[in-house]
Amino acid sequence: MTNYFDHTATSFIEQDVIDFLAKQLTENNYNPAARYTSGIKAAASIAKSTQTIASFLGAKSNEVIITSGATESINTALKGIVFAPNPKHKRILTSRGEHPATVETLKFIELRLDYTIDYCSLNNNGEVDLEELESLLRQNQYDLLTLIHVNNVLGSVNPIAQIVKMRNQYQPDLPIHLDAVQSLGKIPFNFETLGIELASFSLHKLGGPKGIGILLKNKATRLEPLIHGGGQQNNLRSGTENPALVATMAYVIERMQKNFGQNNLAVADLKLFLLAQLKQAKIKHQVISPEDAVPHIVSIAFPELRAETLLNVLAKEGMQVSIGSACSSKKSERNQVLQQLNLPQGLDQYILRISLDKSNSQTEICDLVRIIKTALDKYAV
Amino acid sequence: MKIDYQELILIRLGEIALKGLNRHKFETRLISNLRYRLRDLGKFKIYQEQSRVYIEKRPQDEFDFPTGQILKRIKDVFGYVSASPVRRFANDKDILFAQVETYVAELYADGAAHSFKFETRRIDKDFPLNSYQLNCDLGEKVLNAFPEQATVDVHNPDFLLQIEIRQEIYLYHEIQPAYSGLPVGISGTGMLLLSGGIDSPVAGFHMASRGLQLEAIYFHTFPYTGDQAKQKVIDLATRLSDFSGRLPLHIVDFTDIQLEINQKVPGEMLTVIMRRMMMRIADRLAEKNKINCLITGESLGQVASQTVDALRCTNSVVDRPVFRPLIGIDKNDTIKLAREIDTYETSILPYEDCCTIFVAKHPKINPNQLDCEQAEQDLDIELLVEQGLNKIETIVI
Repeated sequence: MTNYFDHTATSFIEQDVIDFLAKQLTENNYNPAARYTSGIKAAASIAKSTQTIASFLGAKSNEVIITSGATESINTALKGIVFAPNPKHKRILTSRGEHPATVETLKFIELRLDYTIDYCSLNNNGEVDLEELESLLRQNQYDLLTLIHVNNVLGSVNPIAQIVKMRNQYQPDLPIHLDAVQSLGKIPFNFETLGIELASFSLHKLGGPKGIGILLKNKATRLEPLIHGGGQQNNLRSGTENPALVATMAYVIERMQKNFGQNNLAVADLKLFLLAQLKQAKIKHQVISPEDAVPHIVSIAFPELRAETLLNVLAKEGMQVSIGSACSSKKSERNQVLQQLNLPQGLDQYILRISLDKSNSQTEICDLVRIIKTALDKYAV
Repeated sequence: MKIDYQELILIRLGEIALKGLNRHKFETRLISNLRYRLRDLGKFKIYQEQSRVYIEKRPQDEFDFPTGQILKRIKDVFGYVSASPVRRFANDKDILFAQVETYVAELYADGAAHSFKFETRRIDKDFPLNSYQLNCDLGEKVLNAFPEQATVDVHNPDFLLQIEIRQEIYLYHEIQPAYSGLPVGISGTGMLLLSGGIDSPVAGFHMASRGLQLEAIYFHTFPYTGDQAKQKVIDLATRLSDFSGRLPLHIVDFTDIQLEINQKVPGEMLTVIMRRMMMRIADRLAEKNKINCLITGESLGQVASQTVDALRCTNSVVDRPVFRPLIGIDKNDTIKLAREIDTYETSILPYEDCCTIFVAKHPKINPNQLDCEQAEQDLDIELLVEQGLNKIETIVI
């Protein structure tokens, strides 16, 4: 894939991963519950892969639940807490910076299960407002605190260490769930060190295939399963496990962690290069992502042309980017995260999200900037 | 006894049957439209007989007669009142009784209770039983066969079993109402201004139901509206073509004209001048394609450009009649019809909103001819119209 600046939406799969997966599907495709040798081998393979995954995430093997992706992980975590026989305050704390997988699940819980959901505001950097969070934790008793780790629109990183400290002070028994979909591979992640109880991941954001993800759950946290059936994965997620996909996940995560430092330095350089190019081309713009955001996600406003119009030109030229807010007159369809930033009226509709990866080249960035420049010159009204 | 019958579809003509000397022309067109609508389901024998049209399998063909699919397809054809799937068999009393037995057994196979009534038309007066006797005998037979399920209801039966005794006997009970109207093509062709919204496809539907074949023109303002918006219009035209037959869709690259208007026309007049320009281009294309009318989805007072004054301004730049079938129709009724004809879900896809960039916050609600001429004074109208006509991509659906 060339001219691809949407790695936040999905990453692409490199050839060695495809080869690995193909080999696994050929050789390691037995039902791990079967009693014959190949089945027993499949079960052993899953155990080994899970061990690898756990160790890279700073977790224990028995804390790993394999799911179909982050949306399922998040649903399992949120609904699982609500349905489990835990002490019930019928209240969940979250932020206004969450992904729809969280937002919509919480709406369901609010409407159908009569919960109160408190939404903590974001500061101008797109991070959770710690003062407000503290005050909410002081005022109310919650069943769960769920937050995004790295914001998928802005790249802002929530200060989880501080938040965990705050939780320990006010409500030590309150479990924290982290939507870590965008953090893995971009910032260091260690389940144990972070001191959280639940975390969700998706493999297709990391260079693996779609259809597989992880929910980490520490031993003390009780969850009611979302999917019932054959009792696989300690009865927490029924359904025949896929040894080939789990092995591929271990392979991808291991590979990603090994190249972690090198990749992130390369992406940071690309971001600087992009911003320098925009400046050099004298393109009127405003970087919306905060300075300390992960360099992989750069939201930029081009106030002379609506993002949707710009996107149409870029798409025609083969450039693959995405936009912050879809152009819509209805406020409800606007991006809720961008609404939190105190931006000038309507500016959210002028924001392009450029998400980078080490596979992007400087030449691609030059082309992108050139096309943006041409589009602005021709179509800005 | 072997149960031998032929399945066919009976089509009842409405308005066409009242036409005088032209009647043949109307029937021929209807038959040709039915054939076109069924073209990919197979080749059928479609013919006219005694104020009716029949669709049947050709004797030499081996394919199954897909009755359900045929009925679904021909629902979109204008020019008849209703259709029924019919069984036809030899004119013989014993055969009739045997056929009714099989037919009714299928109807009662669900095990539930249903009321019924027989209605017989005996055109062949040589048939040994008269209509009344036949209804009674057959009714008795059904009651005896299904004593737990069958009851007679002469006012509002679940199954109104109809028998027609002609040279052969016809048996049926289902009647699928149609949209009536006139066969498409009988009234010529109209140029529909298709926008991608809810109204224009419905306007096209209305005029097609009066026998107009359609060509459609869409003004694309890329990149302000994306290619998804264009695809949406293609999808709408494709659905419309189910009703109107072959449909050429002309996509005008309108961006440069729009930018020129935006630059040279005062904000409050933008929309009305843009619409005047679209009407001119549509009119000129109609002229070129020998089309004598334009069709729009305008509805009085719906938006600022659809007031009486604004309509007069847009109307005054064309000399063909402009048909606006929705002009006095309530929006809710238009939406209802759009849902029924399956264009609504496509129309409300959100890609269209973005051209709001060229809409003034407070457009002039009562513009007059002089306002328009003043607003257009810096535009080279003829050049822009030519420019539009030269940048047309036509897709034939």
